[in-house]
Amino acid sequence: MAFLNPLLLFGIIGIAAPIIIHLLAKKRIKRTLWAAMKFLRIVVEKNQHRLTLEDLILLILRCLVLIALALAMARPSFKQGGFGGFGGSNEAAIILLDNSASMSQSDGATSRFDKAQKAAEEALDALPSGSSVAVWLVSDVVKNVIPEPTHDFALARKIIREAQRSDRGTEMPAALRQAIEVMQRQTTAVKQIFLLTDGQAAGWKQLADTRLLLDSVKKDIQTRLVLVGESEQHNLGVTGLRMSSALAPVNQPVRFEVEVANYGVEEARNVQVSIGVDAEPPGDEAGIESIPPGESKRLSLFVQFRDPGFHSVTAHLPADRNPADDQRAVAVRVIGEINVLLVDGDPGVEPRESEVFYLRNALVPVPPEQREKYYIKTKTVTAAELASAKLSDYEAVVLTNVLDVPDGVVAGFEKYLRGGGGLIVFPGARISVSFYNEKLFAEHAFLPASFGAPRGSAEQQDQFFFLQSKGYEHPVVSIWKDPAAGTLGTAHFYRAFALEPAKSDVPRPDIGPPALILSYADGAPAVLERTWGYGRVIQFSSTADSAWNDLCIRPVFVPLIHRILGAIVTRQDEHLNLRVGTKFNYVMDTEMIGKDLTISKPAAKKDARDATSLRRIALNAGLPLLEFDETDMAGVYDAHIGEDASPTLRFATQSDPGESRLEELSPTDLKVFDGVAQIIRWSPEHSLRTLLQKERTGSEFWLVFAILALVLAVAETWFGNRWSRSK
Amino acid sequence: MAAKSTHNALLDAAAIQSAEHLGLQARTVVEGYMAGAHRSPFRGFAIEFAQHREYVPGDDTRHLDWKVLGKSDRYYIKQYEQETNYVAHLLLDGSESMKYASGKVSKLDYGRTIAACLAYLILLQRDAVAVGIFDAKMREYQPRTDSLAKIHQICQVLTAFVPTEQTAISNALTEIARQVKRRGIVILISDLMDDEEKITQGIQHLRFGGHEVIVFHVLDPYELKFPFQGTVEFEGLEAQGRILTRPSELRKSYLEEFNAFLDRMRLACERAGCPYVRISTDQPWTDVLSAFLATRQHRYG
Repeated sequence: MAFLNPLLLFGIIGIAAPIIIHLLAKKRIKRTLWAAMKFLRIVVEKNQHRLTLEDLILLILRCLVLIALALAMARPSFKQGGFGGFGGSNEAAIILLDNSASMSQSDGATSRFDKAQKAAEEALDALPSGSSVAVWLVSDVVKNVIPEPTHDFALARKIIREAQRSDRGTEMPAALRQAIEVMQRQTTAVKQIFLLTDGQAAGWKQLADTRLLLDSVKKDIQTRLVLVGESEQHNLGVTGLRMSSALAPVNQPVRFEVEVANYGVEEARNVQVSIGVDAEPPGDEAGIESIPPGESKRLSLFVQFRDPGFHSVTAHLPADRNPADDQRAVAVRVIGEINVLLVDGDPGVEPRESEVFYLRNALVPVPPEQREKYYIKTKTVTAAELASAKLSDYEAVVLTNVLDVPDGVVAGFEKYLRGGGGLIVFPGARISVSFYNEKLFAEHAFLPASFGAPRGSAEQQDQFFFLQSKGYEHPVVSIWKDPAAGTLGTAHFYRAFALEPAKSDVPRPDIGPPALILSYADGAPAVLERTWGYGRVIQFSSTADSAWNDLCIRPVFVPLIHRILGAIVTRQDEHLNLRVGTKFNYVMDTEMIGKDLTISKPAAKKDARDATSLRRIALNAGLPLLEFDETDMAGVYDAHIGEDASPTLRFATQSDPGESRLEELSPTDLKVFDGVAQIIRWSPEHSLRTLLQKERTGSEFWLVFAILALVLAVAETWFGNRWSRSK
Repeated sequence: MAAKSTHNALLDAAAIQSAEHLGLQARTVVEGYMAGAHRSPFRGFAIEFAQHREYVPGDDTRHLDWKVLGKSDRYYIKQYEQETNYVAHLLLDGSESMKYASGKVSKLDYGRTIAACLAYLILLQRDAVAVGIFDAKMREYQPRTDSLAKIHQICQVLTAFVPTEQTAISNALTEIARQVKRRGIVILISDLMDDEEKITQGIQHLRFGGHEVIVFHVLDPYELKFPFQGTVEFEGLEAQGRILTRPSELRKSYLEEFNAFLDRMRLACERAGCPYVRISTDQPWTDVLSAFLATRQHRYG
């Protein structure tokens, strides 16, 4: 037996009221002389005992009414097997509110997240007074808004109500593990964990481990999985969107590849996909005839950018009940002009003898009169002039058959690459292999590979080898997967250095592992790349001119060079698109140092308190870096300086495609929790509060006492009226 | 004590004024009531001579047999088969229970007025009247008179009486029966708050003596209706202790008990051949006179 509102038991003191009234009534006695005492005495003697008894019964009834009322208001409850005392037990709880992307799933009116918020409030209400509670928002990360249990229920309620859904993925076991660690530190008698989630199967990857964990603490900690929402049979999601063109120049068609997945149980037919730039109406649209259940399909759509700068491209699907994956956005930096510094290690006498002759023409493949307007600008310098060049003015620096470079230039390369520059290295007969291998590869780890022994002979052009003719996996060469795009495998290579890739256990996190772009037909690496800082280094094994190969005179050379340049330019832009929840880092121009950027978040209400955030550009490792970690929502983030209309920077986050997979934990999966956690299927009709309170306190008896009070009151009124009648 | 009271009352200007007021009130009531009456309600007394009897002081000298006086020098009064004029004995209950008044008029006050009115009426009809006030015994007694001039004296006796004792009606009736040999009318004005059996015995005693008995049962409206509310402590007027109760809850039982008492008294009177008139002190006095005269007319036509 327990009382949920024990303080109201003091209401029992109210039974003094009828007694006092009874006594006061006796004091208000009228006195009179009387002649017919004989008859009155007879009557009184006949009735006095009855009157006294009636008085007593009425007094008892009135007292009982007050006692029953006080008991009803104190909400007595009975739980089999124990006496709970006077309520107010010492309990601690953590409410884990799943705010992953799948919680956006709606039943047409209410999203799973809305339901989870309501259920969380009910769980909060169900805790007895004096309890403490923590509130965490969990997805693939734990955002412990109230890290430790607090007695401030008002704060907890506010946090729950104002909680925002994120577009993050789901990883519930990790959140449970953290919650258990916190609960184990609590000294309260009762410890509870409420996990309010949609039970998305994708978020429970280690069920057996989770069971073991819960089993080990089940004596101390009661875990409740409150499942909200119902299983969804239909869901289409945009699971991929990427620019498949090498570069995004102004007023040029830029191709984007859109991937649409069908996570429903039925085939999706005539799926219309559209794509648009910024907030403009869709610029291109196409339909997918059929997507079988569980499969995905890709299609290419084109957009054109009118202005250089930062833009966003969004692919849309017709709205369904999971709006989070009905669209996907990427940020694109549209190129107005790309400056490439060509370092000619062997200029020759005639222009055609220049090491960079073919390269320059491939980069600017337009007639001379149009070169001024073309978006790629080149400048050719000799190795000696390189020291005086300002590298930061160029998106890419190409070393072609350069013997070596001074140490000062090497140091400049380091800063240049760290800030997002691109370095392309073409070897040749004149290079100092030891310099490249010792300085650029071993010491600074710029190069993804060291130059080994060359093979073949430039003079014996009847002996040659080829590049691979299939298996183009690297994005730079992936367009040649399509035979219609031509082939790289026909170019003749007479001589080339062996590339010996660096070992992948690179000690520095800002240096990426070597990645193979192209190999020769025999599998030997032909072109390798690695990321370095925010930049990228691409290393060829043969010359840029026709001295060691005829690639440069083949039509595929132009797109290959453009795609390589694109890989360099978009290296920095890779950071413009990141997974939801990932920290955004971007190297800004040096003149931005100390300036404040206002970053507006996607899908936030304009008047929401956290719709925008302020960040200051600060030097980090010598670079003017913008860092931003509030990337819980998928979509486009705009960074403005002051009141500027056009964004200084635009980046986008994309959610985990797995979040679109809405399958719930199966009954078999749920059986794993038998005995270690309680599974509650929540619905608006079944109050979690009532359920939990009944569990905690047993059955409540307030209604019984309320009815008893009513019955007693009626009885008192009835008897009072009856007995007050003249007898 | 009674003498003293009377003496005091006689000297007391207020008492005198009260007595005069009572007499005047009686006259007003009676004359007002009798105005327009042409026949005596007491007609029908036989005038056939029956016997002589010796004169006793107080007898009306008009009934002296002057012939006998002239012949034998003895004073004899002529007596007839039936008295032409009767003697009415007005017996007013002066016990403490008669002091009860729910309003301004107590039962005793009401009884005084009734007694005065009846005395005046009777004297006006040239009948004789004697007035006695009793409680446990006869406390005041005004011997019979047929002189209207005595009405003032009667009123004085009525006015001056102050109740001090409990009731013993039977004692008073027995005393009257013993003292009054000549048959007459005994008018008992009382609340009859005494032993019922003894009251009945007293009435029957008078009846056996040949007296006609008329009972005026004077009651207070509160005694008849018992309209009390709330918690009331009743204190007995005749040393009957106190009772604390909620009278509203007992009203029905009380009225049943009290009405049974009234019925018993009425029945007892009727069995004894006595007219029984129940009076509430909120009734007009003329109602009482009407009731009285009605009993007379009923009996004598």
